[in-house]
Amino acid sequence: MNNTIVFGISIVALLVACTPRPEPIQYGVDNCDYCRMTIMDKRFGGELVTTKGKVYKFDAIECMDQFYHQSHEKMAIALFIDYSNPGHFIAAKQAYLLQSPQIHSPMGGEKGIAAFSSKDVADSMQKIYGGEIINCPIPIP
Amino acid sequence: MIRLFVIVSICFIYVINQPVHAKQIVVCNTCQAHDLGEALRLAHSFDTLLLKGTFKIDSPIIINKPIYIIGEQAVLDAQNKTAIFLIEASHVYLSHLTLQNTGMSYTEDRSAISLMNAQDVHIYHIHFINVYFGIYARRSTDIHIAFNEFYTKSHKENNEFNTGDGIHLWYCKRVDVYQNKIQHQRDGIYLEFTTNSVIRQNVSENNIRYGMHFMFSNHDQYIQNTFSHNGAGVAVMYSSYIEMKGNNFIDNNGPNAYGLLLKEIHDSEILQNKIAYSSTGVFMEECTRINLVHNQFLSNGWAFKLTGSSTSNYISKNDFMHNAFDVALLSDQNNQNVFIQNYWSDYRGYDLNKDGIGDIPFHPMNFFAYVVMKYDISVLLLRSLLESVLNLAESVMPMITPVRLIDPQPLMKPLNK
Repeated sequence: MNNTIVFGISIVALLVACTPRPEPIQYGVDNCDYCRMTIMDKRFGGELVTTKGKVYKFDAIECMDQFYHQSHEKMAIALFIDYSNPGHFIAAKQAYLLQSPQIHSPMGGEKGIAAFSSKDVADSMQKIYGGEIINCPIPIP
Repeated sequence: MIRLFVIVSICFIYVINQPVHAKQIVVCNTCQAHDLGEALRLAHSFDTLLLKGTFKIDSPIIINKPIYIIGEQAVLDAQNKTAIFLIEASHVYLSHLTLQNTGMSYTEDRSAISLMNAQDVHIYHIHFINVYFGIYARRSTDIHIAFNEFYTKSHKENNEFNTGDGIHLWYCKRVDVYQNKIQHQRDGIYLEFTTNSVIRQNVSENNIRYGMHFMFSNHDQYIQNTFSHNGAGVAVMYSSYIEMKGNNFIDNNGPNAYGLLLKEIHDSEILQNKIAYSSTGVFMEECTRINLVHNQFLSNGWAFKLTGSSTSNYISKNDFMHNAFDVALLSDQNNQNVFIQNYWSDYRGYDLNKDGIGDIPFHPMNFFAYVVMKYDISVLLLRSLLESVLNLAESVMPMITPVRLIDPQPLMKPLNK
């Protein structure tokens, strides 16, 4: 009887542990899993979660893009930080990306990429910053 | 020779007898000129504005002509709502000012002094108090930044750090950053796409992220700086031809903190630095052709970590003293990284011919370092009997640690005392 309960609990715990689930980024503590920089800028960043539940955090969409295309793992979740709502995630699939020389993302170089949750916001930022709306480089769920 | 002297003298006399056009305008609350923006508009090129007293700044002051702005106990208070100076001209000289309370902004990188397409700008003796960014220079050349000090109190609010970088250089050339003291900013000094610059004798400490940060910046030197107590140490990334000489990297502790983090650095020199009391002293990833010579690694957790992707580096004449682990190679292949004639305080060999060089080679990476790399928690067994047994077993019959990671000529005595 006792054994069955323990077994049951273990199975549930295992299932919960393996469910891919995002984790909030701890600014000033977490490192980017691609470039190793400490993640500081709340306007940029992203997160990938593998189907096995491993979480990778990034300081910029540029890093996440590189990491995704070099990785052999299967990703279940892809999230970007919303530029206009710093520190909050949006699903990569629903994000509108603006690439502009006026946006200085931590790894952007000449042209940084910022993610927005709605097309209206992205358009209005494009009017201010210039640049172009680009497609999401990460083809995921 | 005499002729040359006469010509020089005549030129000199001619120059000093030129009529002086530039004049000095005193700006203070009780003076005729009491509004700084207005005074600046009325001033001619190369005039001097002498500021006295406290000024409340409501909107950024745009400098679009060559000018000298000098303070006499002058305080410019932005009241947490605006940037202060925006320099868009060349030949600008700012000195002896206190710039304070810029407040923060997510939409702009708000800075006490920002430069845009400026040349020949001198920024001396400025005190920055509670600023978001201190100096933010974009696409500017020939900038001199010296004797400035930062007194920003950053505090953590709702899981966010409301501070920017002390000195941020973006696409700049020929910048001289000299004897500044930077503390409590995000990155102390940050060079992005900045070339041919010299960072010397600065103190950068207690910054939240890096004391200094290089990205995509080639042909730069940093000399005799002190970086201590920074959240993650110093990071030099994606750059080539960097000379790092005589710096102190001290007290950078934490799971992700490095005295010096090097990523994708090529053809650089790391000479005569002191790397001490840090969790990881130097970390190298994807670095090639780096000379690491005459440095002192003192009392670090991991003195020197390098990945398998780092190749053809030359490590010589360094002192590795009292580190928990001297070298850790995160791969079983040593790719032409040469360790020769270093001093290792853990070396237990002998020197029969008395030439100062140990007669048996030293393996700087011991087996226990490998175990700790695989299983962090096993660090609990550091300095235990088990550790000694494992290391001894491995040294007798090497199976796990990279065989080619070896110092064939370890020194008997340290180079620095």
